[in-house]
Amino acid sequence: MSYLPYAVAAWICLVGIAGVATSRNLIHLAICLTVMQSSSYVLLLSVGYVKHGKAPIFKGTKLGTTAVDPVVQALTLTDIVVSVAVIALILGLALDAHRLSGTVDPDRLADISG
Amino acid sequence: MVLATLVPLQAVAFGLVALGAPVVVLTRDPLRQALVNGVYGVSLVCLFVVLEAPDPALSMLVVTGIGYPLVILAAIARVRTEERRKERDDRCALFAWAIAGLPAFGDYRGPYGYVLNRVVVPLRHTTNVVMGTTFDVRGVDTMGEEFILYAAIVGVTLLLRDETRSRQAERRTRRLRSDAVRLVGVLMVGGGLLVGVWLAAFGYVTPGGGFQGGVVLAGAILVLYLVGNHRDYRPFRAEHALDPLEGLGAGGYVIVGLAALASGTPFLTNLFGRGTTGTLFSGGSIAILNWASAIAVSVAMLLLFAEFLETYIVPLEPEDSGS
Repeated sequence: MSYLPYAVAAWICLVGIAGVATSRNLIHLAICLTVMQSSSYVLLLSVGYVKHGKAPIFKGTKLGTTAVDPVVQALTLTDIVVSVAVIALILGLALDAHRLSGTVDPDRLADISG
Repeated sequence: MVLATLVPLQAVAFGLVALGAPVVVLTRDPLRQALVNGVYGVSLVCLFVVLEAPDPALSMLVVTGIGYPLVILAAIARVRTEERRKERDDRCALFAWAIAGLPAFGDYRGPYGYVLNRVVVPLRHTTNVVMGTTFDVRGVDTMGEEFILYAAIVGVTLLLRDETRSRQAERRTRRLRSDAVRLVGVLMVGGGLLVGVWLAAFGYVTPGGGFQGGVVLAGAILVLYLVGNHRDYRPFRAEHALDPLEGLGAGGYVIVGLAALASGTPFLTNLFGRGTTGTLFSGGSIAILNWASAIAVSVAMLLLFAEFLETYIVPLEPEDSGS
């Protein structure tokens, strides 16, 4: 039970990798990548969780109350916002590939040289 | 809060997320997948909330609601293709072995979380320790992330802007006739701007911050585009106005860091007074860095939306629609 969160994170990561590896559409691939990336959020927040801990925000809470790790939360929250821009860049590349070769299937892209 | 109910609640949230991920991946049609991905995003938000992580939850919420759908849907609108299925083969043994080495869930050992939860409020007077960490303790990392954002926007712009600009003459203009939709839209723009500014401004006091507030602000301005006509949105789309603002957001962060260097302290040292705990006048440099990030993020999102909407609005060429 206490390892369930990590198993979930590993499962999401594997599912995402499988999706990326077998994708037949670059847009589908980009979304699978966001799934894969979400496994890192689950892992980070699970690692930082303290049993019976509260959110690390001390507005109206006494200082010294057991709280979960703020470091991993800081990592996660910026990562989520930055991921949109990165996915947009990948989609931009997909659109460019489509414009040049007329396909978004990565397997068919490999056949087109140059 | 009843502590006994926490664990089952968390188990359910983990289960939902574990089920959601394969559903997203196995949905082969990108359009349906974008919708399923939205539902999956909401399940992640729920999980983050039960893990006592309101800041990442807010971040996920705004990104799932505003960020992902727009860029993905715009890309799909541009490209439509057929799909095939394929067998998959997962091997989990190595992962299982790696997992066994981690501390049990809830059995947090690292010292940093405990230390920060003790020292950030007295040292920086910001009641949101996550924001204190983001903009002060790991301020240099956040600067790095902001530049990842910046680099990605530059990439998108380089890839998409030339193509769309050369065909701008063909752009269709669209007008929404329903007054009711317009009214609701105008209210949403006002409400969205208010929520965005509030989220960004009070970020270091309550859950929120420049990153989440920035996305909400961009979303509110996007609604203006959706309910108004093209012209209303135009000032916010004009590259000559947005590009310098993006530079100001990303550069402002560095300037605050350099200001510390100039005054003889290490880069990004918190310079200004710590202020009163739990108010807007707290945190010193954190407040400025927070606003710099809010500007950088909201303008980045607006630039993204602008570039992708341009590709969508420009009518498809005959050879594009056939593939």
